[in-house]
Amino acid sequence: VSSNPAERLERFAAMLRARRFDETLIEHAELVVGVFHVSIGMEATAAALALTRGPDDLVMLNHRNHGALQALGSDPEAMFREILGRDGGRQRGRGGSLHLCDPEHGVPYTSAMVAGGAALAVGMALARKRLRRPGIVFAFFGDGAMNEGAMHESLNLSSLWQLPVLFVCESNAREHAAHATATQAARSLHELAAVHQVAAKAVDAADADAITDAMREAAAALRAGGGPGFLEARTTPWPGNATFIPRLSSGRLELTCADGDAWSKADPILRETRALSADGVALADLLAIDQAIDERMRDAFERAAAAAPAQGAHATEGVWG
Amino acid sequence: MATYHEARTRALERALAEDPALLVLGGSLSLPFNRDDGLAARHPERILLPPISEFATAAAAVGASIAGLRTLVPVSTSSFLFYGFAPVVNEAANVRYLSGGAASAPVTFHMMCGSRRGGGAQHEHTSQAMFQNVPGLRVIAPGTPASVDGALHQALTGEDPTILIDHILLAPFEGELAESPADVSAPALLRDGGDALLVSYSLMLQHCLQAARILAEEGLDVAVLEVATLAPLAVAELVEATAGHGSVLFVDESRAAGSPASHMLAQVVQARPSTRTRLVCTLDAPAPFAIQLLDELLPTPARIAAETRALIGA
Repeated sequence: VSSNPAERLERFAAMLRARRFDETLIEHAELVVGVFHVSIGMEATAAALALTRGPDDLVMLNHRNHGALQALGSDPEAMFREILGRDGGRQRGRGGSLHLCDPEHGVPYTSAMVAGGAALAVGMALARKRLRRPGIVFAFFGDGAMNEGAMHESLNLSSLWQLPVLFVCESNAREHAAHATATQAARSLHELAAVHQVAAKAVDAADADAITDAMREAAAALRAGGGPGFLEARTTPWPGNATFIPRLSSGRLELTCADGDAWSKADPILRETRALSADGVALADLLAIDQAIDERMRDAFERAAAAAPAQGAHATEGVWG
Repeated sequence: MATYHEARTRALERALAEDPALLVLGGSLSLPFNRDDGLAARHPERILLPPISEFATAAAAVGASIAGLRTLVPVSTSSFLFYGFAPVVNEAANVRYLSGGAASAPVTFHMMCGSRRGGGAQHEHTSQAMFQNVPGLRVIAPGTPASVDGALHQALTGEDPTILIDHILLAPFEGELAESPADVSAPALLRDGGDALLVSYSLMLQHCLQAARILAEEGLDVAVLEVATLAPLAVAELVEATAGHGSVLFVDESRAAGSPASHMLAQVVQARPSTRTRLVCTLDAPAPFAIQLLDELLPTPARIAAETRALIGA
């Protein structure tokens, strides 16, 4: 990626779309009924997905889906409308933040059950293989999903049947002395996949190049007819997620090349900003990209917030075919 | 004339011929205990045998259906799906609704429910009562050769995630079979009579027909209505079909609480409060192993006949 400047800026923009979408939402959290989850700190993985996904590929996300959808290019206004319960959301008020999906970008349905979506992705890959259709399936889930028995059945089944599914574990587990996580006795998450004979590795997901290269390499192996793959995309927990409803405790992202606090060193966007700058891209150019994206998100939010509520009269429609 | 087992096998063969992509994710529809339908021997390439991983198998079937591959999952004994409950009730049932209609999950789970006799508490659940309470699942429980034919056709050509409630003891029952599959979405009157109406499905439907024959020998003229599709229930058609019957019994092998029959009864009474009704269900206990204990719980033809006499004061 580093050798292709246009693609690198495309990836940078994808990361910023993810970040600015979530920041805009957090600033108006009082307008959201119920809980929502943000992808701050995981933008490099989302952008790697956007660069790796081919037109025939399917993506299974999870409750924390905003960032990946933004990176993939989903319409922010339609997403805000759905999250705010307004008319014009793609799920017509039935899904909300937990179930955002967008078939035009390869996301037909989103499960919010821990490990639930990854298990469905195995079936999507089975469909691709049995129907001899092109395309692979990306399954995104968090480190908590690795505690579920469903993950292990799914890893085994996908490996047994050599299905084209790439499991991407977006881990924001805290560092732990002897275990992968506070709730996992295994030493690492990817070794749990490896015992099922799934090609597995851990990647620093704050390093945009590292996660992009790893995802492309894994996807290429699947496209070449290999069985499933597994990436443990390691990130540092974002402090704003410490509360039930996320807060911008570290403030809105300010693009800078300067070294900041501990979190800013783990922020994939600031790391890439510094890397781009070191490679000769002017900060002013990056700021211009950022400003345009930021304005787009704020406009999209304003229009969504001003829209009429989703129509309750339609609540009983679309249950059966 | 065909037996229920023959009709089921014929319907499955037809579905496999009509949809070359249809995948059977598991063994045979007639197992356990029924004569093998020969499916595995005739179509080995259409059958994929998963490991004993009910969650992953159910989820894979649902995921495959979202991505365009229709699967039929023979669960065998319905309690085996309890490990795979989440993908069915929490994913498949919700795909169309949560996606705003962008996606659907046309997948079929086939399972043997009710008492097979001697199976005991963990293998004789009346799981239909659990599934019928989940909007989005189509729950069909046929009780005749014609309705199992129609039920398989509906399940394997329709767009809903479908639960096919089957019963091991139905296999030998005989009935007429039409050239084309019957529509099972609305109730079907199997026997007319002016003294009372018995409403039922699955094996209990056959018990109701037997009870009607017992009562006929006593000079009582009892009608029998099959309601094969438990969800979504065709409420208007059910109310219409029960019109003109002053005494209606609802017979169900489920335990009464939250049972399909209790829902039907409520709908009929709500529409026509003057109707005299009675609910005949399995008594509230797990299925005991010993047959004499089991028969204390289940609606038998004799018990259905007795309840009918009591309701009409005969």
